[in-house]
Amino acid sequence: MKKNWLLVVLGVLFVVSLAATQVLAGPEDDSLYRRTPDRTPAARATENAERRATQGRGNGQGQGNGNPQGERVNFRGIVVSADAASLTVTVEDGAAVTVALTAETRIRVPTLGGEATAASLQPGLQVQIQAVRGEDGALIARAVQVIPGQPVQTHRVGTVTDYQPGVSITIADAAGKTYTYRLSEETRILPAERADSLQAGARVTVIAPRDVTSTGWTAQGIVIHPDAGAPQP
Amino acid sequence: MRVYFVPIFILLSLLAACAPAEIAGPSLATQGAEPATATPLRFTGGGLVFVLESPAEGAVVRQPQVLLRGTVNAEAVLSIDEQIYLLPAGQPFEVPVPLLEGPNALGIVVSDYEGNVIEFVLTVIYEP
Repeated sequence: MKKNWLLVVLGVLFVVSLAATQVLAGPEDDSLYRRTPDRTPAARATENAERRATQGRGNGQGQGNGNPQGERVNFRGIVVSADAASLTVTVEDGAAVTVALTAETRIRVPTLGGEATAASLQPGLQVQIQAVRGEDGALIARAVQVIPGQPVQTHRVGTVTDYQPGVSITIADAAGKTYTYRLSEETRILPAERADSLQAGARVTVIAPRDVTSTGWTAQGIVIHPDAGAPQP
Repeated sequence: MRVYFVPIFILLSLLAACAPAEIAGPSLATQGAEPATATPLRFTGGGLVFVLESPAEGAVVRQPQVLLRGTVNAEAVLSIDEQIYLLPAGQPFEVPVPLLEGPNALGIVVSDYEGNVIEFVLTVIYEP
């Protein structure tokens, strides 16, 4: 009799344990982390048009019928054309999507800082658009970010051949090609404990803007490698 | 004798049930902080291997800052726009990246001391 009770208790414990596992292992709350919608804006626009068409005539703004006014939409596309009032891009499925540009639309181009305007949105550029849907279902851009093909900065590893503190540094890479960078007060030297090792012969990584100007690069940072190398005589 | 096996069996059953729950369940410490990628992004350049655990490409976050998490197989230099970090070899790292409202194109460059370089642009959207 006692044995039977023990078997019953065991069975109950198993069921409870399995249930607890399933509950505790449920999906995490992702309300703070949303991916870009799977549906393209074109598909959404079509869907919206269809929804409005089926709402019946004389329904005004379609309130109370699931009108997505105010809905935020994030998507990426390639600029087809742009003027002060609108931006047209092609999205992943090849559809053209037009968003309105307003005085409040923030336009950012990595190489232009805060000087970007609609005129900066040249055809062929890849952009990420954050838009909101207006009363009529049209998309209004809140922000447009140009996505560069590569980062605006670059790293170059080499051996220091000349170092003039506060003025310039010249390094030679593995192929023997030399590069000279200007130094400024903003140039960081890392790590601080190896700063004394920065001299000819040291191995370093120089971080600098990718853009080349007639006067050369200005280094953003210099990282001195652990095996800084023996100083040259 | 069998009586001794019963509590042991019960104990093992409970342990087996609780262990996976602790691993797979939500962590209060990380909820609402930074998102994790569903699949880490792996980049290679020469002998350099950089794994980006989070954030995911195109992630939408609610905070004006995102934590870049990952690992790299060798001592390396990481630059994100104007920020520069030294990364340890083989250890997880996380670095804070400030965001502007809207889409942010983060230019990320990683290089090791041998001169191998990995570079890519990651888009993160900050929606307050």
